[in-house]
Amino acid sequence: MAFYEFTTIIRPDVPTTTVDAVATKVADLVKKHKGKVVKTEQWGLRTLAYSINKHRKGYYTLHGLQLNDAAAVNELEYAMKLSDDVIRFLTVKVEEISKEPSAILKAKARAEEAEAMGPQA
Amino acid sequence: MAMEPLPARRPAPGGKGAKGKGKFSKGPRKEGAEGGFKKDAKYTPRLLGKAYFQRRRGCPFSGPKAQKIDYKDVRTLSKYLSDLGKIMPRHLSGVCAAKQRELATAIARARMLALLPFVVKADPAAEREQRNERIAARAARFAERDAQRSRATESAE
Repeated sequence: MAFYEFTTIIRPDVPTTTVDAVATKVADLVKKHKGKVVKTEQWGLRTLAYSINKHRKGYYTLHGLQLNDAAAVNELEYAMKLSDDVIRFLTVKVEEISKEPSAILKAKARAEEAEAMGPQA
Repeated sequence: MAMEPLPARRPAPGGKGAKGKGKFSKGPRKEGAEGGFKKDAKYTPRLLGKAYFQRRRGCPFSGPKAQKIDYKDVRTLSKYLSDLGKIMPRHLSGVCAAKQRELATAIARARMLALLPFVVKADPAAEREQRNERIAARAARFAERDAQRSRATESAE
């Protein structure tokens, strides 16, 4: 049993339902291998630091997974590789999945708060 | 009479010595200070000044309350990148060897996810502007010097 952080980047020119579709696909595969989705984070549409397949933006999703065998990871990565909507993915083995929102979401919340305050006089 | 032999022993007293050697300049040497280092009140605090207390801080990722290195924490990671997006060497950032390796891995992961850039291209427009500014500043300096010279010749005549 191990924990993984599995992040996917979905191309920006697809309907927003695709983001959920990919998330369900991940969840299904995890379920098939008797794993657990510990948490899912939607980072939303982010600007990429460099263009990937001519895309400058992408929908990020972070999945915190608990999996029992490496075969699950292999199958997950294989499925992402075949998917046309997923332009990039990354699997990282971690000690534990933190309950708190990740640094990206925190930064996003900070930015939104600053925007809500309006331009500083 | 006591001042007379001084220039002979210390050549060019008005030159290098007067300009000072930065923050370690001792100023003109006193009579009693000859024969090497003398702990006088003026000297010690200067020696113990900035250079002494600005010892580098320890590794920002080590210690009991240290921050965790996380590939998702773009804000922290970008502190350890140069302007061109390269990883900062450890002797500049003070990160310890083990944590530097961790940091490098985290940056590699962040780059994989396009959270951080592999390279940052220098902005050509900004560069051009900077160069123009430099040229303008130099032109202004030359103009001022010319004006001063012409004034000097006028006054001589």
